[in-house]
Amino acid sequence: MSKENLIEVKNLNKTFTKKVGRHFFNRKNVPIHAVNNISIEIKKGETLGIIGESGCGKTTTARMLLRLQKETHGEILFNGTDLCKLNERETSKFLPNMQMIFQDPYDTLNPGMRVVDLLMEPINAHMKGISHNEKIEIIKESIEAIDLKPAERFMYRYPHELSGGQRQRIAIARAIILKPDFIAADEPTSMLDVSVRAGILNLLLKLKKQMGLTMLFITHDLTTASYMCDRIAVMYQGEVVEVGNTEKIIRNPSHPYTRALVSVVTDLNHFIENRDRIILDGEVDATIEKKGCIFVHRCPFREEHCFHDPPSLVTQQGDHQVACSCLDKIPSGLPKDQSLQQQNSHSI
Amino acid sequence: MDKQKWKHYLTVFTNNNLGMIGIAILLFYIFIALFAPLISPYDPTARVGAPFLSPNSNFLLGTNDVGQDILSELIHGTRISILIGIIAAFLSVAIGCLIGIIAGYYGGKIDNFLMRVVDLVLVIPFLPLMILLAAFIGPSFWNIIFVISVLTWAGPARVIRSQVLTVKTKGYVEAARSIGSKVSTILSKHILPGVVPIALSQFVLAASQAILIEASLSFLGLGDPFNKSWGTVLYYAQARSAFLTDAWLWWILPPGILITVLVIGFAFTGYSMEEILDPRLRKGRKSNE
Repeated sequence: MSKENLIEVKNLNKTFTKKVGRHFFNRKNVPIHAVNNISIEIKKGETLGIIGESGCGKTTTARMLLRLQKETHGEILFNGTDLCKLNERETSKFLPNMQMIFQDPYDTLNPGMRVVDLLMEPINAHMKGISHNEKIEIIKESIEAIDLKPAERFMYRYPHELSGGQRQRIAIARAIILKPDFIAADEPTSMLDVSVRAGILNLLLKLKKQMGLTMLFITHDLTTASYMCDRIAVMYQGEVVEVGNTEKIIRNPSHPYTRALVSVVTDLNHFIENRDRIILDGEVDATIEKKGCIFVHRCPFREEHCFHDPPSLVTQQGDHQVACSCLDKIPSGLPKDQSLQQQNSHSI
Repeated sequence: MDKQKWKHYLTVFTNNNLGMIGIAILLFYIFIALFAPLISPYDPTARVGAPFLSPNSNFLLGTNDVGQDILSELIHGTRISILIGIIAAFLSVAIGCLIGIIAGYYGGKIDNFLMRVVDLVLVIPFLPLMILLAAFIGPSFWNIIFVISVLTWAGPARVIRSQVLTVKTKGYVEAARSIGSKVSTILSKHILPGVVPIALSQFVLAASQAILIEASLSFLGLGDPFNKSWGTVLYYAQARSAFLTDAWLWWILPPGILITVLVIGFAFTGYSMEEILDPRLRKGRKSNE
């Protein structure tokens, strides 16, 4: 791991306030920790996946990286520059280097603009002093780069004349047209038909290779993540609970939450039968100030101290980090293997 | 907005009888205003007959106190009334758009401040202030327009702000921000087009309001004496005691009817525009795209 980090996130926090209480007099502002003290690194040319359930702070993290949202506190180093300390004008100079692909291609393309106008927007915003013909050339190139050929057929269409997959391709074209170093893809395939998902994912992989992109890939789908990512960070309730190589996370998940995620994907029947031993049902209330481990309410391996001492990310082997203080008490291997072992031991 | 949408709007509009009546009325008035010199039998400023003549074959609506033809006065007055109405409404909606978009897009303290100003303008007793303002800066064409637009922008501003609040949450606005587009680009290319339909209907309603205000100001003698509008005609009729004689039939009733019908025309057009904006109001559902 000699490559240097393109992005380093240090102790990033985002707290929203929610008004609680019906009356004027007992109304209180309660903080909700959407993103809680997360630190991640993305090396140059690498794809980092963030997976986690809805509302765990994946998207908020990406939005803060792209400066669409101000952080409560923390640092985001991009090539060594702290983005959090920049004012708006300085930030906009960094934006051509980092772009975002959004989840819903039906929402992120302005219905009143043709494909040319949509792609012209980033060019007009950041590339000054080139002629109209040159701009059109750049646009044609980028449309062909996303495998919509010939470009002339698509350039003068409105978004509603395109299919969902084609729309998402245009959104991708808009993100790569400025030749950024870094792209954050926020569940780029979750709104698409299953039939076109693979096409979009392969396109992203191809572009990544061609342009040497660094990517942050957000998804709630472990299968997609394992296909796309070099490393995976698992988030739960605004905290990163496990980071490591994709291979490691899939083959040898350590954190109880990751184990639950993996076991859902690898064998759903087994997961349903053995649900109690994998994850507990628990109500999650984001407004309560948390003392111990965030996962404690749903963890089948919890112990007394888990309710009081929050675990921090501890490096296991290489760059595999896990935030769990009971690791040695959790049997290793996939949950499924254990149950087999247990069944075997019973039969013996 | 894309062409298809506008086409769709047009079909909704033409399917609406009220809207078509409204448009027909407006076109009729605009026709009169444009061709006033050709239609009117006399020069409205010239003394063409004896004063206080009753309607006869030469003067269809009689003459006024100085012997000018009332019909010609009214036809030329259409120009002034409509022009003042449209310009004032345009300015009022333009100010409203500006304030509404700024307040809606930036939100927070700016929004709070601007909306309190809007509240203030809305609760000011309208007529007295208007009279005061018009009397203070003096009667003239542009002064009347100024007074009307300064006092009527608050309603459109509030409506447009709420529309901006919904457009603002659209994904493409956020996408534009992530691209790094300038705020001015975002406002003009993404927010404004979403606001235009509402601004149009606000414009129509503001125009009818402006015409009424102009008529009342002129009726009170605060209109431009050199550009006679319908309100000015009414003012002179009132000043020469037309209400007390038979003259009200041809001196007061006609301008009154003209004002009423024009306002109804604007109102009908405005209603059917609202129908375009709010699909739930449409009666016969037509498939959309």
